[in-house]
Amino acid sequence: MAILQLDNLTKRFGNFTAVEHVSLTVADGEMVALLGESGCGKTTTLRMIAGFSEADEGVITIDGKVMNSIPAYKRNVGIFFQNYALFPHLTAYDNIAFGLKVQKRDRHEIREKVGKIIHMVKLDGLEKRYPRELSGGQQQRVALARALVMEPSVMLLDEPLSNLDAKLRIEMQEEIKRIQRVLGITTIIVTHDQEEAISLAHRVVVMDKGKIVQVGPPEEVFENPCNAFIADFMGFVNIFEGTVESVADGVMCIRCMDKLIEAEAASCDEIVVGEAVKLAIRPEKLQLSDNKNSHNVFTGTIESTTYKGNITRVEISGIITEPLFAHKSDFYQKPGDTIGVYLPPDKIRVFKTK
Amino acid sequence: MHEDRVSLFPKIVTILVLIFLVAPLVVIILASFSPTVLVVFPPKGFSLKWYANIFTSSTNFLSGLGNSLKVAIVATLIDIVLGVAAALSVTRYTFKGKHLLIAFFTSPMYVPSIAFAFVLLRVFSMIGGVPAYLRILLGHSIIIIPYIIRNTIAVLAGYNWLLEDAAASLSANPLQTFTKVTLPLIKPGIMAGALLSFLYSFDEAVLGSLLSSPRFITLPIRIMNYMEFSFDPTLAAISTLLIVMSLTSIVLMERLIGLDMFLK
Repeated sequence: MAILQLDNLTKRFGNFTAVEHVSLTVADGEMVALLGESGCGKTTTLRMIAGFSEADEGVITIDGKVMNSIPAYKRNVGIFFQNYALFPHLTAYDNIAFGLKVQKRDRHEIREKVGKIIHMVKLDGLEKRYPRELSGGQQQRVALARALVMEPSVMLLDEPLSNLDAKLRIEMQEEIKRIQRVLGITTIIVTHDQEEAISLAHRVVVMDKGKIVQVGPPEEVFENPCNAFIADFMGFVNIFEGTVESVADGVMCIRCMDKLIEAEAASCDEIVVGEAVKLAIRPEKLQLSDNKNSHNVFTGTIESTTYKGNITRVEISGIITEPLFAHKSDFYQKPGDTIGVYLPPDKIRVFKTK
Repeated sequence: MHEDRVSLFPKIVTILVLIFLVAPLVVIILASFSPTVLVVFPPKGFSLKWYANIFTSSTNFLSGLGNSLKVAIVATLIDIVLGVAAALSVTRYTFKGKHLLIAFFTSPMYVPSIAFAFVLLRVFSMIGGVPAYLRILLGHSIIIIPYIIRNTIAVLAGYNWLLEDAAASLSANPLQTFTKVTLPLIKPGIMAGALLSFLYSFDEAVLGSLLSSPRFITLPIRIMNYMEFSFDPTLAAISTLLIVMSLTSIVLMERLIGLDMFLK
């Protein structure tokens, strides 16, 4: 159990800065998700914490102890690799026991600890199988057990669920969450999947181009992204531009072409009249049914509908330049129909155009 | 299952190639059991006397065999250490001139061995006093190393280097990582290379003849010398034994590590 601190961490590859002045404190027992697109520096950050890659600047400390010059094998940082990196020549049991055997622990101790962890990740009966004889999900459990059995002070998970099918993903997501909460290990999970980050972590750290752009609890990052980039990442499918006409009583009036859209002024940015802004709203927040609101109701034409099972994705044109997308269940109107669209002012996020 | 119909022409070609490859061996093996001095085909009768002749002191085949084994085994062992280290360093790191270095490491394969033998002979005569065993051992160590390096590089090309990171994260130091993870996984490539190297050295005649001394002569040279003044089936007998030895080691290797390594 430990506190992990990153202070001003920077890593360059030639002229390319992969990680730039990243500072972050992960509390004891906390699970933090590093979220970002590929190439945003999240995996590089992870590799520096693990000790596989040296930081060009900045300090990594675990429980106040500086880690920078300590080699990976002395750090006691557990890592779960995206492709599991199981030892193909060893059985599931020997994979899990690898670290303890290397440390020349007592035979009985090894058997007891490995047995316990195998039970915890529900691998009972598969001990003698080789990795190639295990399913993806089982391999993943071996990889997890192999790291956990070492009782690492910090646990790093690199895209842990990206190789699994949808059903197994949800199952393993719950599993990882359960184990992390039970053991209370300080954990960093790297992912490009916002849903995964939000459902697993206590805190979400969004990275872009090597920098941290937003840190906060899942709800906050999900509901109130700080800029259009994060909003896009968080599923605000409808992002469009406008100009602020007025700001009064916490309500902004924003002009988009010939439409005047009202938005509640809850925003990370200080926005003034006359400024060019970006508006963002989630597709599931658009209301399509007839309603009695006098503001923010517009009439458009259904361009296309895509049935997705639990929802129907509706593309609506004729309101602003770009088509707007709405997600609705039980939607039966056809392309070509005209439709009324209501944009709830409290669901619209407004960002400065940079 | 779907049926693969092979047309007649490829079948015939395959059979002809097989005959071309196997027939000389069959002739030699049959000849080795011939009771007559002149090798006639088909043989008239059956005899093991030429095999017995191998073990008489007059042929010196046994001392030649001992010398050849001494050179081949020691040279192979030395080259496993050097070759694996070289292969690891050129595959693990990316650096300028990497491909040049690989080409350099494997260059002994492309230099004509007679030219190389001549150069070595000059160098050794300049130094003077180097025993024949050391001369041949050093020569062989150089010419056989490409086989070990190439095979090890081939197996490392498919090696997942993340496994080393994984081992390190499980507190294995670099030496433990090598012995417990990397080495077991690349062993098939190393063994395949070592077998080829061993067989090459064991069979090598050009360096062997130029660098040997009357007190240290390898088996191929003994056989060549014997051939100069007699052409009896003893040669066929020793050849048969060598064929059996090669086949046995390849079969053994196949059993231990799988033959697909040789195809790389």
